[in-house]
Amino acid sequence: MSAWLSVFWAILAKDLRVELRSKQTLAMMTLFGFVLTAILAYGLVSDPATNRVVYPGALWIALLFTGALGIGRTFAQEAAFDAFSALVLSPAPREAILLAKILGNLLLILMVMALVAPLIAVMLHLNFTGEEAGLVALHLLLSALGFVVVGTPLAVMATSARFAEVLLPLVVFPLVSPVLISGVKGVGVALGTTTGDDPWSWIQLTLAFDVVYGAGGLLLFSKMVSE
Amino acid sequence: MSAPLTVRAAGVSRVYDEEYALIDVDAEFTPGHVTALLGPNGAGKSTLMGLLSTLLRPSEGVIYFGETPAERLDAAARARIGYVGHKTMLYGPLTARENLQFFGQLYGQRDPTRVTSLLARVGLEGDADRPAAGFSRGMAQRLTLARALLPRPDLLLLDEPLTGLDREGVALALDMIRQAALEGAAVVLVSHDLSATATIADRVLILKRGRRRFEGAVQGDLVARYHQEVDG
Repeated sequence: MSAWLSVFWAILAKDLRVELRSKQTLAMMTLFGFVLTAILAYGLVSDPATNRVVYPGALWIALLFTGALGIGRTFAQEAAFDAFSALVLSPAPREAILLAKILGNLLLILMVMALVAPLIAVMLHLNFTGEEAGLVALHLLLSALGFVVVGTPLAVMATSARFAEVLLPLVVFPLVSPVLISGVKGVGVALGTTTGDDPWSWIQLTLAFDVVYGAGGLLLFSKMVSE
Repeated sequence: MSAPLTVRAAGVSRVYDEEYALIDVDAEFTPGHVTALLGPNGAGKSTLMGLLSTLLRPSEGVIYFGETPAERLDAAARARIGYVGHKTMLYGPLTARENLQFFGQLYGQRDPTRVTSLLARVGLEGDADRPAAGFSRGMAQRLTLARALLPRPDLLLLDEPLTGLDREGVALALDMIRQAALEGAAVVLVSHDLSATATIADRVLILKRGRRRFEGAVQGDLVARYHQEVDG
């Protein structure tokens, strides 16, 4: 177990170090998030009640598109000089490779969303109670997790495919739609803009998707990297 | 020290898009020997290297590592393979030292001096803390060789390892390859530099259009033998 953890941390630390040095993905995602925020805010801004209704959708549009940009570049550094082949050839457990990549992607998306989510709220002139803000954050965390557990293993496949940048969103978006719908509905319930009185049932549903997709991804990843 | 590893290709074929890149090839790579894998472009050399590395799977036939078929290799067995491919397989934003330390962690390398000694061995001790992205092709190739040798592999697969190296670099690389074979590794070497290859190879496997033309010990002039099999 300690060897497994050591490999997991080595891959995660390497990915974060590579990203923090090159800053390519993070800068691109943040810039894209800000542009999207500006478009949504200036395009949709209305009275506070309407803004409150619009907020969950705006948030998940930002998550979907910045996330797609991020996972599309998951293996860019690996593919640049074919380092991924060396990673696959090594005795590193496949699950450790995948989980480290998933956590790395999740951290990147959360870093960007930690800036974008409050910014959208400010630009839409919204005020949240502490409980509402907590529920929004929890929904975002679980939806982002669902997004990366689906997107990360598929990004491996896409690296060897032609038109990978186009192909990946085409495959990922339909698969993550249950997570996104659940997130939008759950935040709507939490903010009192959607019918329903229990935001926790949506949280449980998102969590269930995360677990099922995560298990499926783990099972498929080993097969995906064998060629 | 693990037991010596003999690797065997048994009736191996590989198909890409309904075209055979390799057809029914039998070959054996034994510990302590350097096998030159030769052939013109499109002969199937890189495909065979991909199959031996386990990065590719044969369409037909089996690659055996000892008695174990390649598809049943576990992580410990994969750790016995060192591979230099067409690309450097390095991380550009990481320094030379960080690249080797990272791969060392993946291979469970416990010896803290191994990275430093390998960097010195390939002549990169003065550039150890520079990002690999800033390296020339020759420097990156030296680092690539160090990465492949890091786990002290029992099977060393070298696909054009002399690319980009200057004369001194070629001599250094050949010396390190020879040393790996002396320490018991089965070495498979693909290189278009026939004269350099001839100085260290003691066995040869010649392919042409995916088929095996010759396999055996090097006797006499390797270059002449190659031209006889390929051009004849």
